[in-house]
Amino acid sequence: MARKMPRRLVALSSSAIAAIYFAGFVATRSADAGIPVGSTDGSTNTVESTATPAATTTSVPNVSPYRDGTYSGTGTSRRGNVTVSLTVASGKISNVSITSVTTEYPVARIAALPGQVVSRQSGQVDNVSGATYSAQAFRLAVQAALATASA
Amino acid sequence: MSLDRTRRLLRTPKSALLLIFAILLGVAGAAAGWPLGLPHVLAAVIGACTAELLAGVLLRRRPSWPTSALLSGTIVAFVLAPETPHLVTAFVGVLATASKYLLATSRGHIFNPAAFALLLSIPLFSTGQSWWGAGGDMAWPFLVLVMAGGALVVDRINKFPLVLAFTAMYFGTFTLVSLYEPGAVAEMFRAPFTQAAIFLALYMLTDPPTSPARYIDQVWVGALAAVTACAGQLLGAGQAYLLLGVLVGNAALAVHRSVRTASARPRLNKSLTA
Repeated sequence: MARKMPRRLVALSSSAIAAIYFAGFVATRSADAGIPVGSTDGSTNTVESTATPAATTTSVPNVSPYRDGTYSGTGTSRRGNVTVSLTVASGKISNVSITSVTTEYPVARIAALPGQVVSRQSGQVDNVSGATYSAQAFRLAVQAALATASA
Repeated sequence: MSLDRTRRLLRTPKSALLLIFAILLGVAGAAAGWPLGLPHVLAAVIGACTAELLAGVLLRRRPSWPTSALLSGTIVAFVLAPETPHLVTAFVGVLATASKYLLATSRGHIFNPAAFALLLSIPLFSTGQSWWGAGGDMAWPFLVLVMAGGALVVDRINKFPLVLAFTAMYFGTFTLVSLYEPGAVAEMFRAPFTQAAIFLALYMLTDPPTSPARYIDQVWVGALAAVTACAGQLLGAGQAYLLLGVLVGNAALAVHRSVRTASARPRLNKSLTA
């Protein structure tokens, strides 16, 4: 077994790595905060989302032309997918549940988004700091489900 | 239990790691909610330990306490989202132990069992990873706990060069990329990605059977794992990027060991016949 690395060298190396980390943290601070909520103006170029063609529509009507029923939609992001089950009753979105998440983010981070869809009657939910890609995929999933509901 | 006995128990790295995991579970479990977290951890641990006991029976080994399976199961549980169905979690635990026996050389298993099972679980079960046991969903002070516990074990098993090489290359690469395309790597410096990388470096990459002992080997394996993880992340490997890093490092080490063994054998024969 090799002799142990001197503690002083460990501390020095750790400090250097911490400095590198903070340099990266600071350099990316504006990029992390700069992704607009539900933006469709092309400024979401940091998120390379690809969804079903129906899911890439840029607007979701707030006044409901939806048929009653339960619809499933999947949104894809660079870091994984989100699948939702969306129920329309009496022409209104009555329930949304997340049925599958394959992103790295904790599901808990986007747990509030289904409630926002129901209260806003729209797929335009808030962005979630720290779970940007999950929120993006969720938005696209809801839009895909709504596109099916209105087809 | 006497103080001496406790000290003796904690002297082995595995026991110390078990204690650290118990502390992390205590805090992370309370934050996630015990009704959600505890059955999840139990499912993974029961899966891993049952497979270990079964392997012991099949290989006619003397029964022993399945500490390795306990650790692998706990890591699996810490990484998988606690919302994962319990049967899936248990099966990933089984996969972790099975990989130890199915993918092994005469020196021992090739891949970190938890990393291998977690990677396999992505295409098999579409599992989501939250790294909740690493504090991915918690306030920053929890990371200090993760780092302190990890440093204690890493010091004990003498793997600091491996951890430092990995973290230096990992954050160094992403910092360099941030100068040109900050949006592409912004999240790598934030929760839960930072916590995941640190947890992986301290607790998974340093698994003694699948990590090198020599310092020079620790440095290149750590750097290779980091470069693989960064490349995976930037090329769109999704949640698999960190696991890919560990597993590529493991595979490279296994190849390196077999080449060294093969080249050392003729020299040994020559010296014996001289």
